[in-house]
Amino acid sequence: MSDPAGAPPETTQRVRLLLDASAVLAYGRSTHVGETIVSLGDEAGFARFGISPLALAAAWGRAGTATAADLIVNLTRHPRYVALPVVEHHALRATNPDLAPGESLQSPWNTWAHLPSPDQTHTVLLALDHECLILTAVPEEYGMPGITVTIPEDGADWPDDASGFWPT
Amino acid sequence: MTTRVTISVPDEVAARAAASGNASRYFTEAALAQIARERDREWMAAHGIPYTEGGVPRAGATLGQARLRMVPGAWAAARQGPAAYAAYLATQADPPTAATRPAS
Repeated sequence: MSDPAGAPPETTQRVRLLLDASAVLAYGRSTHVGETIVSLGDEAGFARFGISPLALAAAWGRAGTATAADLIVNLTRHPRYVALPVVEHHALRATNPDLAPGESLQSPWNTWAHLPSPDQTHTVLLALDHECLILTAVPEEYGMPGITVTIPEDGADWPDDASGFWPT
Repeated sequence: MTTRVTISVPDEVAARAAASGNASRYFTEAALAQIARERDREWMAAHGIPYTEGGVPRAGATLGQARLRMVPGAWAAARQGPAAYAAYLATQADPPTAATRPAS
């Protein structure tokens, strides 16, 4: 029987975009986040977006008002939203039996721990796992041009030429 | 449960559907995709989420352009860490920069 929402089987669904905490907070006020989510529907298959649970918590903590907090809950009920876990290999692979006592194996988490907040670190790790882009209002905090897609400022439009995101 | 319907489509569409080997499935998948798109918009409207219809293809184009740049080699470099990713970007003829906010 078909999914009542018209979604194809799970096997054809992919996480194609991650929203970070800044994008989550912009969801209810910026047209650009909604436009990005709706654009996923024009892709092949049933493209989905995800959010790090740490980013959700960070956005919740910065929501400021009950209305803004409600919007965050609302976002997690979107039919294209997929809940993403904090998985073991992100942070817990810190020791290895082949290493000398006290010697640690560089974990993926440590590799990106220099980012301003843990939710950003986790968002990057999820992006690397899923090979998907990060929608953010603060690309400069990641320093990862190419992986981050910037939400245009309020009142601004998406660039006519998307390559304008990559000025030389 | 299914319903049998008769529709008229352009010859090329009919030919492609027939060539797929299962015309019913061909049209059903197309219709389900359209339904999903319509429900996306209905959901946004029902929850008062702001967006403009004109901005949707522009957002999609931006994502598409960005994905074209993120080839497997880019992801592989990023997995090695910031230094490896920066080194990868330096090898690109038209590297993205950190100044990614478009001019308003």
